[in-house]
Amino acid sequence: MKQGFCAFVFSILAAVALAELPVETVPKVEALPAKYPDSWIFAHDFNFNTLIAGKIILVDTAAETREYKGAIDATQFASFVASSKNNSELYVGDTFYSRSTSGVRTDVISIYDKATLNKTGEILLPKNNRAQIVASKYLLRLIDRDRFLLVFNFTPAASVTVIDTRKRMITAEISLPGCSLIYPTGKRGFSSLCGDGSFFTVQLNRKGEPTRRSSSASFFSVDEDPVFDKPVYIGMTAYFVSFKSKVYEVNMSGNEPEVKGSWSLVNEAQASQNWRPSGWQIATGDDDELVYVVMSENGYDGSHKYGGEEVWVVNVNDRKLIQRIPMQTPAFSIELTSGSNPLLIVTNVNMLMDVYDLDGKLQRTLSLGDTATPIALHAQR
Amino acid sequence: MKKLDRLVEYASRKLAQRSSRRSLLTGLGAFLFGAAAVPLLPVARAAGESSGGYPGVGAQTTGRTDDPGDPTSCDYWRYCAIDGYLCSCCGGSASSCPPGTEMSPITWIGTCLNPADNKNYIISYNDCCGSVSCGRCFCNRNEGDKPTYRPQSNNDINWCLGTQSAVYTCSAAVILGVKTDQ
Repeated sequence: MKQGFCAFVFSILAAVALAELPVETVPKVEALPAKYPDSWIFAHDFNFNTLIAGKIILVDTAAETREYKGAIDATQFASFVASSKNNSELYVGDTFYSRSTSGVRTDVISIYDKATLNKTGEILLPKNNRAQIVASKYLLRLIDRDRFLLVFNFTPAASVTVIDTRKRMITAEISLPGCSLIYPTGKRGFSSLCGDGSFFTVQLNRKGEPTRRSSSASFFSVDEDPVFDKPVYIGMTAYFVSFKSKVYEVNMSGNEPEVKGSWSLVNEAQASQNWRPSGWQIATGDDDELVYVVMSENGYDGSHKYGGEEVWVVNVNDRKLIQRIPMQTPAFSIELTSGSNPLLIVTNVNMLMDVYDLDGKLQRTLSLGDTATPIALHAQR
Repeated sequence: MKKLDRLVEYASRKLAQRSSRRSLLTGLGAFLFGAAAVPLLPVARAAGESSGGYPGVGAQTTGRTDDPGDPTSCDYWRYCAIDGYLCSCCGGSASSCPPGTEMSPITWIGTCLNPADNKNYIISYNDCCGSVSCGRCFCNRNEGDKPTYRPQSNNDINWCLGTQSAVYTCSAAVILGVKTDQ
């Protein structure tokens, strides 16, 4: 009897304890703020293991918990660009097949909403000629305060498709004479780098139609010392870094690019040790005057994509090296977060994300997935 | 598909996980892939330790002394500018695609030194296309590789062009001839 009473009391207590957890409702899906904090970045997991199923992962690089905020699909050598902080849309260049890996091909620009990560629309690319190249920022760009979206195409004939983001319609497709990628230029235009080391530049009118085309002189030797095709923009000045550590400063604010000069990242001693840029997204910059470059010692012909053991910081005003940040694990791709207190985000050669402060101290290491290959990093703009 | 720049890193990572090598060494091996540094690269090291270039991959030979090396190993001479999964590991060979795929007729080109005759050969890197990534023997080497504005020398582009499907499976390395300006 006494035993039975105890059991009764215990069951009452247990019921009371259980009752403290409220009933949860289904379905429930998280939402995000319409404007993200500066520390959030987009990491493009290219998913080399299964290229037909990549994704764009939204990460809070400053968080100690719940750092993985969500993701959107990015299919089959996808490209990606986010609208600026004041706008709400995300754009992904996708390619689909009706039977997954075979059947009818459909290329689209998929549009997502920042606050929900829901797909809100798509724009058909009827020629199915979207370039499929390992992810980089310069495959898909927004210009004219996000009014026009530029899509790089490669079949291998190269062209750029212009899309009016407000009307969600194509306004032009512009053929390129053997040139590649999209570098915003002027008020409403872009340049591409060509096989002879020159720029080809196009300016658009308010309707998104080409009005002006021009070619520059060659400004570097593609055979002797090519520039990486992933420059750093600080404002409308682009810094192109070469395989052998030369930096070309190019004013992109006018109707045509203007090469302002060049200098070397390395002094004589460093050059003799073959310190060179190496990695994928090899450089990034802050809003004002600092360019960051992944550097590796003992470089050679073919070493330019393997990553580097240091990140060098250069002030573009006096062209001086002001800091060398040793990497805990060699860096493969780098990006600075936006805002006044940026963090240095590094995808290391083991495909983990290292977060450094600007003193070079490693704050945390994040995994974005057991097999993730997040090689392109996009800070907010 | 070539391109998978980080491929070496990724392959190195997988190898590192299996062999418990320290990640820094893995990284060093990955970015020091040169003649002098080959022994540091886990992939190359594995080639000397096991039956093939990658753990769990059976070694192969071409059967010709004038075409030396293991076509399932990343340090095989023809692969000097390859970027992708080695078709030799995927049911194809150094110069053929696996069954069920389609070889791309449009390619990027490298120039590789055959150590047997000390001649430079023009190598066409033909992607094999139409089924999901093989996922075996990822290899990325970049001798002579140029950025995308020199596409015929660039291995970051998905070269599954002119095929029924652009889905990348693996990469082959086909001899086109001896470079004549040597």
